[in-house]
Amino acid sequence: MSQLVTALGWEVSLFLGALLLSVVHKLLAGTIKTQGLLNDKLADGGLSPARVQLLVLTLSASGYYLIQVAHDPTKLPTPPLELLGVVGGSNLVYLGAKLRSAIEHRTQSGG
Amino acid sequence: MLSLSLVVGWMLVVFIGLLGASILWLIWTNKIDLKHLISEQNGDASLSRFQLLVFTFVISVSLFYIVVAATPPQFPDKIPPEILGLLGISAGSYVISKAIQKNAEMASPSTLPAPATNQPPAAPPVIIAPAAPPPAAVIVTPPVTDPVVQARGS
Repeated sequence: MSQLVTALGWEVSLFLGALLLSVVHKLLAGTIKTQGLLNDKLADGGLSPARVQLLVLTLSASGYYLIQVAHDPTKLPTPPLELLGVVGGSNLVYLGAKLRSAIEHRTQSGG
Repeated sequence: MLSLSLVVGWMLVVFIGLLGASILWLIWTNKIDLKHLISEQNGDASLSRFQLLVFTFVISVSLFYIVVAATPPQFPDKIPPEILGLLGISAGSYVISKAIQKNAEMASPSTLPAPATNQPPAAPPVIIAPAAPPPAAVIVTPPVTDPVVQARGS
């Protein structure tokens, strides 16, 4: 029975790892389209600082959580409330900037 | 009974392995197309979708690592609600972001989809004539063949 569990563990690990590598490879190779990821589509189409900060904070929060898991793999670590606050605040900044662009876009188009 | 459960278990392991390998093969040969994995309908990449993808990967990989790291492998007793909060923030942000974008696009006629120009001309309306009234009934009297009646008539 233990061999069965080990085999299943390896199998799912390999699948998840290969899936993750596939997605990362396709993102880096440009097969998965990332065009416009950091651009404000409702305004002038230029680089949006709100998007940049959301991307940076998302990757930082993910890295922090993965480090926590690697330190203590006996249980799912509880993310600190500060981390939730930072991610939530970052999303609020992003949504606020998007709302502002949408209002400007609407005003310019006479809507 | 133990051998039966072992056989079924190994069959499941083989099935899951083949299923995973097929999915990976289809992704690598682009038969499962991931080109628009984080794209919107207009083709631009969406940061909200990307954030949801990253958080989903991080939490699923962490969960699996914790399951297989335990001896014997076991599911964690408790999923912290803060993790669900993290995913909820990301998913909620995605929904609100799409609502803002749709609202802005609908308010601006320039971003509305252009009307299709290669449509065939509309067919003229078909006028259905009213149905003609049914013809009046014609009563046909059969010729008299009775010899007595014929004699009287003559």
